Amino acid sequence: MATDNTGWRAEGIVKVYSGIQVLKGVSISLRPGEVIGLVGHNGAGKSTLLKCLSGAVTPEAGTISLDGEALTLTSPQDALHRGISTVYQELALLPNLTVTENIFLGEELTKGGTLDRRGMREVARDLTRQFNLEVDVDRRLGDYPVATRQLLEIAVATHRDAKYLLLDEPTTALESAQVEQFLALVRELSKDRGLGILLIDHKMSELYAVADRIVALVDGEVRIDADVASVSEEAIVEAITGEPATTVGADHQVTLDRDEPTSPPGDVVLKVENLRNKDLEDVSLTAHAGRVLGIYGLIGSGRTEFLRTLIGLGAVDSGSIELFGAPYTPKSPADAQRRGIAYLTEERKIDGIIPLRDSVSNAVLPVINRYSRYGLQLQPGRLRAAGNEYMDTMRVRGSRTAPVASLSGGNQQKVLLARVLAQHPKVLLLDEPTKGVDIGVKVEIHRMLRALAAEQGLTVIVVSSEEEEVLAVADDVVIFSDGYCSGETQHAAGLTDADLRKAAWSH
Amino acid sequence: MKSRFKVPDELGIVGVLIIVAVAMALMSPSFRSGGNLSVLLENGVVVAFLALGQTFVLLTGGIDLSVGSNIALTGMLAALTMAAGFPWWVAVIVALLVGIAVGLFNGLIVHYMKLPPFIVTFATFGITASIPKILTNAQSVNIADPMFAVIGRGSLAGIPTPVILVVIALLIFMFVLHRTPYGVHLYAVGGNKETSRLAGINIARVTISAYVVSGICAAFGGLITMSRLMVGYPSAGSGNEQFYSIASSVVGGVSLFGGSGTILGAFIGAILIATVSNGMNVLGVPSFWQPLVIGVIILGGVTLDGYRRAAAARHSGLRRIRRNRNKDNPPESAAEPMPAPAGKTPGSS
Repeated sequence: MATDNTGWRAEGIVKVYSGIQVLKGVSISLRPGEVIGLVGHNGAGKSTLLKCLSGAVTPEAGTISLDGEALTLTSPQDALHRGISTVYQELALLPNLTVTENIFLGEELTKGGTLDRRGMREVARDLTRQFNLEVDVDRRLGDYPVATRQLLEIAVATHRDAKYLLLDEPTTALESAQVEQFLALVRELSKDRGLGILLIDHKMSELYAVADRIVALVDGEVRIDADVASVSEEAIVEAITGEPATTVGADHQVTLDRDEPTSPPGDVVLKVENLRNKDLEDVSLTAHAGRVLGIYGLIGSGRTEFLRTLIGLGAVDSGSIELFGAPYTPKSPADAQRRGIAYLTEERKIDGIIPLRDSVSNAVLPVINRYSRYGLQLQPGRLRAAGNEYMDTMRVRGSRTAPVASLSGGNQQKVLLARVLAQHPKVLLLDEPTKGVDIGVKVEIHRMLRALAAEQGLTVIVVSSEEEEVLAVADDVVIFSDGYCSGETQHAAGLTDADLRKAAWSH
Repeated sequence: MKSRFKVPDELGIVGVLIIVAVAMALMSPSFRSGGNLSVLLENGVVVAFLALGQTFVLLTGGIDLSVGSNIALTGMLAALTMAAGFPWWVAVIVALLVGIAVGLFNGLIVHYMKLPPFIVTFATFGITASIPKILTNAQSVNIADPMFAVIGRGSLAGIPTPVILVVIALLIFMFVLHRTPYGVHLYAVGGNKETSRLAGINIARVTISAYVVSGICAAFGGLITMSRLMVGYPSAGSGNEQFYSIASSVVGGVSLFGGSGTILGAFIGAILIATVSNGMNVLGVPSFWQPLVIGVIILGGVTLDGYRRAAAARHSGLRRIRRNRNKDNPPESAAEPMPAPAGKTPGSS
């Protein structure tokens, strides 16, 4: 093994995003030939740590050193020149260029000032062969499936004289055969070529197959840093999931809500059985009138895709859906709306608000025809009155005539919830209804959602990656994991944060 | 692994061009004459030049709306230079420098102010259209230097000089785009700016240079236009040139979204548009029909581009592919048979 000085170490890394410490003094070291498996829950700070290490973001505090020499990384390019190569979660190659052009992007080989296409093609062929990639290096990268591109990206990362490789969940887009291929590759790169590899991965089995050391990150702190041989899988999952939530003050308010009597299970409103499509492997669940159903799962477990499938934004390959006792085939968001389903998007800024319109227009957008004479002439007075009424219900604060983008995130979210109400829905599909919302507003939204179910008998389905939220808002909980949902419903009242996390981590 | 035979990207547009040319030739004997071919090419040269430059800008994901009016600015300044007593070659240099300056202006603002190219170059269009009129009080300026006429009216071995110029430009640009790192970078920046930045590509240089190339091409357009008439007139380029330069590129397969298409395709697109205009003239179709026909051709080209993009998106990673997992073969069992890595055995550390 290397002497104490060699390798690459980061000490006391602190990163603050909008006032919140995402990393609270993380120290980690990586030696040549070593594979570190970095695990942690959603939002534990794994990707942020990786970005600090790769120079993509600058930490507020902490030092990074390479073989004992202190470094300040100001850009990914900087890190690359030091031999630190990173593969981010998002694909970073260009589909409009050929495989060869991608491999050499920014470092093209030239002969007398012109491109040495033949030379590059040969190196590219060698490289792809080495990685067992069956590709024509002269074809555009966009012609190949995501999995191939992901492997190619790793190939490209190692090609650039990398000594250290940082990989952020590289296996999510891979099929099982390719996962094995990938793991074999990681072993070869570390053991035969002496690369130091930091691997972020959700799957314990994969980590145990390749890692020498496991580092578990919990709430921005290193909780475990141990040889893989000396720590059991259970201990790691325990560390990641076992901690009860520590956000006290706010939780109490929410818990008061939990003490209100929950409505008895009403009629079955939505019944999904063995739903499959390209994002969902097998999803079954049942939602009842007058109850809030919480869907909990890790990012990428198919939760969002499930909701979007229900409103016609994803194909149904097989399985059955029943809505109010009748078979239902999702066609389009407009059709779903007519059937009484209202949807709240997870991405407020992408497909939620229309930023430059005022909040009244945003709130009544789907039902604007209701406030017109013969569907032609708008009646601004009625429209404004109705919009204001829904927004009063949601307690939207701030100007209602200014562009909605000028409101705070929390109030924008409430405008979107007002839009949900304006549709007079019977079924609410809410994806992360309190995303980016501060704690006070969060409690308010939870209370309203519970009231909608309990008092008005609506069926509310809430997707959330926060355990506290699911437990606070839901009557019943189902777990999504890797595209699966068994439909097994648990009462929220008897569950703890740890139960949920454990369930999401075990398949 | 082996390279398959690849269908050239330009095949479709060449096919359309052949069909149009054959149809025109069948309908009109005078279209078939050699003299007409020369007229066709000469008339198409200015648009072809603009289309070459426009392609550079389109490849970066931008658009240059100032090329048409830049014809007037560069051509008029060349005419004024000669009117002031300077020889023709000084006028040529002035025109090219002005073209470069306009390109720099566009490129610098687009890149550093991060403004949409559509708006920036639209503003430049207004500015460059007005300056020559302001300078001459909207009067035309006669050009006396007979050497200047060679640019637009001369010929070499029977081939008109402007045609030779545009073919040389085409060959240079094909070389630059296909055989130099800069060419790859231009496509890369048009594909994804952020990725290109991470790959260490100088985005500022690539973006700004694309507008400069477009400015130079517009200057050639200005020189050729003024030289053919031996008059500098300030309203030059205010016709269809601007619109047809974009149309040529798009019909030739250059994507308006950046990052895809070839310069040869754009050139053939320009010839196609020249052929349609010329054919309709020869056939005696009233000239006001031309924009309609060309409009339809553009729609066809853009629709095709849309199809291609949709087909590419189906392949691509916009949707994540799930692991091939089913109940008979859960991942745990798939991963277990893997040999343990050397470092995992107890005590090895």
